[in-house]
Amino acid sequence: MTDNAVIEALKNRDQNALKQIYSNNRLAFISFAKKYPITEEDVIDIYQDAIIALRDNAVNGTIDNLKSELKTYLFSIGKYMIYNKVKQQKKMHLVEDSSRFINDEGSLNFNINTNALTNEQKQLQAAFKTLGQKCKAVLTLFYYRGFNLEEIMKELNYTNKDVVKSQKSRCIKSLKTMIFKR
Amino acid sequence: MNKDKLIANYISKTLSLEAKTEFDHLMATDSEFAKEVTFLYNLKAVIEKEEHEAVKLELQGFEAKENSVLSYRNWLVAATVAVLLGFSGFWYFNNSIDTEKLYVENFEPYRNVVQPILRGETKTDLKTKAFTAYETRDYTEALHYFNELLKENPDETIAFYKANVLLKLNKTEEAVLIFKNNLKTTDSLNAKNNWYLALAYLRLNDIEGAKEILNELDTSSLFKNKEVKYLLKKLD
Repeated sequence: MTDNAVIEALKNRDQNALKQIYSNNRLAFISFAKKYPITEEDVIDIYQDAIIALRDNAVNGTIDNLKSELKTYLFSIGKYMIYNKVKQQKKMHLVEDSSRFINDEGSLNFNINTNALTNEQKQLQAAFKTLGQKCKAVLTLFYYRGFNLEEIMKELNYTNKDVVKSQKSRCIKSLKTMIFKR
Repeated sequence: MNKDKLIANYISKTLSLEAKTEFDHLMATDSEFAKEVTFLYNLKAVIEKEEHEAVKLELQGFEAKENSVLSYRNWLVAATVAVLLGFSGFWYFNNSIDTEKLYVENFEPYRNVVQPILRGETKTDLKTKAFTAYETRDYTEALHYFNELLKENPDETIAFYKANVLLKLNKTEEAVLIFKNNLKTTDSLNAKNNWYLALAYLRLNDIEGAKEILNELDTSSLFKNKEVKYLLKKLD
């Protein structure tokens, strides 16, 4: 599978592609992370988060025209996350600043969102979990994948855009009802 | 631009500079609009989180499988080690054949320097009978006569020859006891006792024991020195 094919598959959360990228780079990442003062358990956790971030960047189009190898990109995300972890642990005094730390493999551009949800968002998450599969699918395609109504129509086999639009409105309305009713 | 479109573009980070001004203005002046923006912004964060959690679960599933593959690998490693141990056992066994070979190459009952046997002689004393049997390689008979001789008179030299016979008859442990006993006292037979004791240890595959004796022999005597050095080299 070429990197571009993997990126496309990642966007669609193709389980085989996900598994392939996970297995193919796992040992290399673990051994790469050995030079940093973090436990293997943390390394595995970070590795998984790095793949999640990689997928985010595949989905939002950041790596559609990736200049480096996908592996290099993944490792630079992982390295950045390791850096943050080490900084948190304050086990290591890092002389280099984080921008140098992440830029030494060329200026790779990535967005990482590992922010914890706010209380307000947690309530919304609880409400979202109670939605039906159709609602979740439409809202996820629209807000996470960045699909427009027409693309959602094709993806989910709706008969026309307007059905998608009213479906989306109903879903948002029920969410609002759930969290604003008090 | 209508409000929905403004919000959608804000969320997908595709607001033009002009639209951004309009957006900021509405955020400051229209509380319903601001509320809607916050809600949809939160919704996007929630959906992202949901996606992350779903993928995380999948990845953790892969990891669990990796670990079971790993434990399978560990099992394989254990099996490999077992096989290697088997091989080393084989090697060890081979090695014992090697010491046996070294023993056979080097063991030769010490020549009779006690009782010269002359051809055609018909002496019938016990000593002559014993050494006649010894020289004619009738070791069972020799052993019998040596035992008789030792009953009459314990003698280290006779015991030494008896031990040689015992080695020849594969009664190595018994031979070792005699050589060791002889070595408790220092005499002219010391080097020879040591040499045969070392060979007996080889026969018993006690490489360390053999080396220890050979090293002692190497420093204390020139008896069979060439052979001693050869064996030490082989055993290293």
